[in-house]
Amino acid sequence: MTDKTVVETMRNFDHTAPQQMNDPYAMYEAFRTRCPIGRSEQHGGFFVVSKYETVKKLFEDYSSFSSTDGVGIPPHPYKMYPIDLDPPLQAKFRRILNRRFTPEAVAVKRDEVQRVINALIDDFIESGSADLASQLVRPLLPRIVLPLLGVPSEARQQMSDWIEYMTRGRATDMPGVIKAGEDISMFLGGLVAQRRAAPPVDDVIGALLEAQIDGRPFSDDEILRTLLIILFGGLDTTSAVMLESLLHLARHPEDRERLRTGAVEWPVAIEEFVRYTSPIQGLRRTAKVETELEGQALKPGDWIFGLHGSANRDEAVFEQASRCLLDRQPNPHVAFGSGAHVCLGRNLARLEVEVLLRTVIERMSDYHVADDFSPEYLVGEARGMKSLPVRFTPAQAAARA
Amino acid sequence: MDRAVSRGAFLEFSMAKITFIEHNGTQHTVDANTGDSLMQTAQNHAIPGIDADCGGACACATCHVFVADEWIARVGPASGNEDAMLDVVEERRPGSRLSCQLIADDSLDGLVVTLPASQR
Repeated sequence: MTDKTVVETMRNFDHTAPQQMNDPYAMYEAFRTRCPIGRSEQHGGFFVVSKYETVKKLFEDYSSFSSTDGVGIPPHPYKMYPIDLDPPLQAKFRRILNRRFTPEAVAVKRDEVQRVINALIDDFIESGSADLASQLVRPLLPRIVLPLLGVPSEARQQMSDWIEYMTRGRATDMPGVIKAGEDISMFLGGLVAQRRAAPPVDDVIGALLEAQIDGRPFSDDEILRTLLIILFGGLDTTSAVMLESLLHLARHPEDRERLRTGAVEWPVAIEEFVRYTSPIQGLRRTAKVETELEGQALKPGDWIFGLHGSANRDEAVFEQASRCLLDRQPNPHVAFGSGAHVCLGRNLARLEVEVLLRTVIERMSDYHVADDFSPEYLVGEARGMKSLPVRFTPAQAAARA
Repeated sequence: MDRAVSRGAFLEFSMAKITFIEHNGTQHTVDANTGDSLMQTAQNHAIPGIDADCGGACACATCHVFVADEWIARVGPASGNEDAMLDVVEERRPGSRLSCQLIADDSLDGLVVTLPASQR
């Protein structure tokens, strides 16, 4: 790419465009090396930063770059908490949520995660083939995350559909997104009201109902906006990491073996899967003071989109950044974000990914993808594989074994 | 002079001895490199009780420490963002600081900080 074509590519950059984002990494490299801050004219115009250090600065310097005007492009029609807040108010929400998502707090979910994964695999393991996206990964996460929040599991499918629509429909059907948002808010609002009248339960809704912020209880509205972002975060992003890892391991039996034998430690490998996937490819901040990034003057109100997906492939930080190297250490990736808004559910995601991969390697040890398989992605701020068809030697379902 | 200090002196690093006291009373006296924050120092030495979720951006209030009374004046008060973030912690005291904002240098040699029961 010449410098001129890079500027032109930048001008047309649109993270919601499948043709750009199905495989964005060559484009990101051109941005990093030739246009470290550029301007896209899409969606009303926004600056784009792509280098690791610049992306980190954007997300860590909340005094200059604010979340209170939203973090998506196009903006979400519904403000969510605490993602659309800045510290210190943001931290008051996080304090209440953090303690439910520590490594210790999520470790007790391991058996339940294992049980759900085994049951889903039982449903297809005798057939010798499956789409791991629609038959394993996507059905799995609502079964774990909704009970944690306190959302009844009957609402599973509806909730997943609403979230999917609000995640990916903003570029094409804003009225539909607004409708989905109203429906989900109505549902969650009703649920919170019910729970206020019921005996306390030990889940996220229960914690928010009991907690205080600035000496007063949370309002129903604040609680539902908090539940919304946990749903966004808990369903889509984790599935992206699972599918990318499963594809890598299908194509690299030697890595499967290294994990199986313990030659690579799971926690180390999982950080690399998360870096390599970068399920959130980018998010927005809004300049709140006159400032600059990469020599570009910025004024209050300017939108800046920071590309986590590009930062995690920056050769200045990661050698052989385009390769998934399971024993990569240190691995200071920003796939969970950086700064105040670092992913709340990261410890749960790590656990879910580990149990899933362990179980697939063990129960479907020879699973493989077709040689000509070429993944297609759902794109937006979040990017995840649409489907992952695999074949394997059929085995008996555990219940009948 | 112990080996770490003599090696540091040879390389013209300076170090400050910092004592972290866990909530349960366990003491850790470690060498902090000049320029490192106390949060980084604690993490380098695997001292439990400092979470530092945000990685040192003064944005999460999960690296809270209590500076020992006799050190409060010498360390100085929190200002700006740190002062605002300290309103988020469970129990703010006169010696409350966020350890990501305390940068080690010779003047902090001998500093003692205690850790709260929980950062959550």
